[in-house]
Amino acid sequence: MNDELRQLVAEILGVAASEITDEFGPDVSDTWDSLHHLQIVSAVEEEFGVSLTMPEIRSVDSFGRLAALVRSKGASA
Amino acid sequence: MAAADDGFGVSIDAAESLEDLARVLEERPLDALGTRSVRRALRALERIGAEPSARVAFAASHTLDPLPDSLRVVAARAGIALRTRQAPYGQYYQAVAEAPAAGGAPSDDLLVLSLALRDIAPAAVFDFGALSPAAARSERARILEHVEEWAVLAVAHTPATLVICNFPRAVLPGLGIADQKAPVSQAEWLMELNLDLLRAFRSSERVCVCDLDRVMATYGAERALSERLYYLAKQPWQDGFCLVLAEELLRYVVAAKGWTRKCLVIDLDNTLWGGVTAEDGPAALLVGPGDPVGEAFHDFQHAVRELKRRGVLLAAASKNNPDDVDATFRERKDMPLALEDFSALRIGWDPKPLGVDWIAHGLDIGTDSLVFFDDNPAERLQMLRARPEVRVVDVPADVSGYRRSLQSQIWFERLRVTSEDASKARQYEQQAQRARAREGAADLRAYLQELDSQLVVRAVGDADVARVHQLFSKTNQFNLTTPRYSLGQVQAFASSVRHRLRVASARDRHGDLGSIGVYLLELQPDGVELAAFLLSCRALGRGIETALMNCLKEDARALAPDGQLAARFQPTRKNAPARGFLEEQGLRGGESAPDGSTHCSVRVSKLTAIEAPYIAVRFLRMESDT
Repeated sequence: MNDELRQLVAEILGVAASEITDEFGPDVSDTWDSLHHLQIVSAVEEEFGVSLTMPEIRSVDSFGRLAALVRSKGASA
Repeated sequence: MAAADDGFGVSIDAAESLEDLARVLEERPLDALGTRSVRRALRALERIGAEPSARVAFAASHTLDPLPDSLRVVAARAGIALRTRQAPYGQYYQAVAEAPAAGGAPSDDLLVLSLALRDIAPAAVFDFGALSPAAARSERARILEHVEEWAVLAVAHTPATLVICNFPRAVLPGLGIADQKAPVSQAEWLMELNLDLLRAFRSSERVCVCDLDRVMATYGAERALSERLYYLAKQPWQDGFCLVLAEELLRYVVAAKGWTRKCLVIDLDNTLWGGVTAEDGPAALLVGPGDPVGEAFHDFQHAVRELKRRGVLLAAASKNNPDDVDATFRERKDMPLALEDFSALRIGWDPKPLGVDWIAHGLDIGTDSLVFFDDNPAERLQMLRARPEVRVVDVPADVSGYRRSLQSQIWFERLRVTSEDASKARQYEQQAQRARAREGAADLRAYLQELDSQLVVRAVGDADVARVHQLFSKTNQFNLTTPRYSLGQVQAFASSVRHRLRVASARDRHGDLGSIGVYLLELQPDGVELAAFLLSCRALGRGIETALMNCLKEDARALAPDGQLAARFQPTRKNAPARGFLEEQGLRGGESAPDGSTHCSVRVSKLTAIEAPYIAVRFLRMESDT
């Protein structure tokens, strides 16, 4: 699942998947701005069939955090 | 999950031109595009880099994303490259207050305004019960005034056509179902607010009200709106709905740019009626009450007739024996459509691409003005391949979907149906009568004399603006410079003291031709310049252009008796009929500029009227005359 998620985030941000490390996130990337943040969330929800609450969405500060959140929602690995 | 590299996505990535991309995107209904394909389409658009043919600006009380991008993708799907821009979040008022005046930077064709009630009138959404009937009324008045003030400012500061979204009624009333019995009902209040908006701008030429309420109801408000997105990003609409709203806005683009198609070419057997007339005979054809399939065809014919009322010409292209078709219309008087509703009939065994050539030629329009509707996928495919400029409707397999498929076409949209439009088909019939009379007349002079043409030339007034804009948008042949002025520019010229914008209407013994000619003179330091001169092709060939030019000469003498009259001919693919006209009218020069245009001039004092013997002219020069 991680690879699919990485691919999805890379596609939305228009960067190479190899750039998306676990630490990659809004704090270290200018591209990952608030607009892209919501695009990522809705794409993840659409592709992985999960639903995130507003506090969860705001808590995502890195790719690793997002992946953990999606896994905790029961999306298959 | 959907595979990242499904064939559809790969085709989007592989598109090399706007036409390629349009073809790929059209394969899927809007609903099935998905955010992923939209993103890929946006990248493809950036890669292709097609020159935008229209500009759309957005302003809102809320976050608009991803609406502007959605519009670019939906436009690309229709083969149109758009440029979009948006005012910073919430700054819809500042955006128009500070916009450069008309004629400044590249101008927007459309300016879209969306206001969310929760932003501009939160009490009416969240605390409606606290409002007394009087307070509710004054809140409505306040909102309307706010919108009207914005519109006045925007009209003054941009040449764009304004599209103001109305308010979706998808608000659950605080009183629940008892809302209807309250002294002032929230649902009623919202309906009245939307009515206020509709009525406030009904007569305006520049301001339109987009029925967001209807678009959202059709799509489903529950799917369209996202509370979560609103709280997180002040963004009210889901991605999927943005595509649907974008398609609605694209209708305004098509209409404002004058890209409206002129003629529907429609098949007969199994398109206008169920069955094959040559095999089944007129009596057995399914059309009319009593049979589900017949009822669907009957209603579809009504939809076709409605298009005619909008000003769309109807033409039939059918592989049939002409006698069988005649017999069908003669014997089936119960059908909504009659043979006389069609401006052209091509009944025979030609391939349909040749049929549409013949139809377009007969109506004196281009094949790029046609929309083709045929139940047979093979015919549609052949047309797509042979005549890519013809819009081919993707007709659904079942007749129950025909009506919606036709009515939802964006290519027949216009901002307002003028009286010219409504009588368009009759004018083409009269034109055919003229052609027959001309063939019958012994010589041209006798014909023209008998025709008894009368021309009225006058200053463009408020009532003419829409038609003049349409003439600027659509006249291709007798058009010296082919400028495509926006509605706002036309209005500005009409009221400018530096310009003379005149419109000519004509009638003759066969009937009224309506408004058929326009010219625009612009005052210059050394005299006057003819910025535009055009004549609709239905008025050509009888000397009206010379009569109109005589009026122009009078205007020039009044404006700059001691100056020069400068004019130019700008060649296009279609305006050969206007070549050499300036020289015939006594202008000298004819040097070619690097862009291919020919420049002519003459001293105004040397201008003389040229006789236009068969035209009676009334020139109403003073505004008060009109």
